[in-house]
Amino acid sequence: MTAPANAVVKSLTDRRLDVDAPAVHHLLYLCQGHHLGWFAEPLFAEPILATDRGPHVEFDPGEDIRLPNRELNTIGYVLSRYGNLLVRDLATLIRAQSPYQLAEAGRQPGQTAHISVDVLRQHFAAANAVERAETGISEEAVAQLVAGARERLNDPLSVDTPQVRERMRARFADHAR
Amino acid sequence: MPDDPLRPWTLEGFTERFLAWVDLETIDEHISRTVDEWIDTRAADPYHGATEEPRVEGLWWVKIPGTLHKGGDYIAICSYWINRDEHSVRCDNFGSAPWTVS
Repeated sequence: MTAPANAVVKSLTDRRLDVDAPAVHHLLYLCQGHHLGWFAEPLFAEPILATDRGPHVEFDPGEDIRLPNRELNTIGYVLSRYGNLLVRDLATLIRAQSPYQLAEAGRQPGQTAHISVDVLRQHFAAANAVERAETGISEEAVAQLVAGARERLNDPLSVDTPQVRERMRARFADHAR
Repeated sequence: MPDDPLRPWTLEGFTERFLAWVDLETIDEHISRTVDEWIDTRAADPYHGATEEPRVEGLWWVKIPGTLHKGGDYIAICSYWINRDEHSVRCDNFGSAPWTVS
């Protein structure tokens, strides 16, 4: 699903109440990039502009839309990975990336330029592939790990309460004796 | 009551799946302890160090740090489902994977 940007902003700021306005626009860029890299479709519909102050997304407050889990996970991942960075660090990171640089190349000071969705997708898909390879874990090993995952969703499992965890530790202690 | 973004995630099935894995493979005590501590990190941030599995929507997997075993050739990995709306993480599976230094 391609959502309106305001729904993404709402999710970003709900989960991190200290996100200020410039950071929101940088995080929107990263959300869009990672989502495109993973799923080859945009997370939100509005274009991202390169401006004098960095990436910028024009969005209306709009109605409250509930995002699906896949989209929420992209936002959660971006917050986990980048949410603690300062705005200037986010800006440095984004300005070094080819999608932003390509947009900047044709932009005059005071003007805006569109950041290409296709270039964003290519950049983040390539970055994902590199990061995936850097894990040192083969595709086959992961495929073996997750084989039957959907079927296992039907298994009844307990919540890992402190009591459950303690029982596990007691069992290991018994084994160690 | 407003949602608290910093509240711990609810974990489900990590203990059972981990015990099932330990029953299948011979795991040293220090690996068990490391995995036990790692499980706690998922309650704080399940996305940290995780890779989304593109073949199965909502499924993520992680290489668990500090779990090299079998002579350093294998490392523990874990897959799990993240439901951000419910703020919950459900374990899918544990396993050992050959690890290649990249």
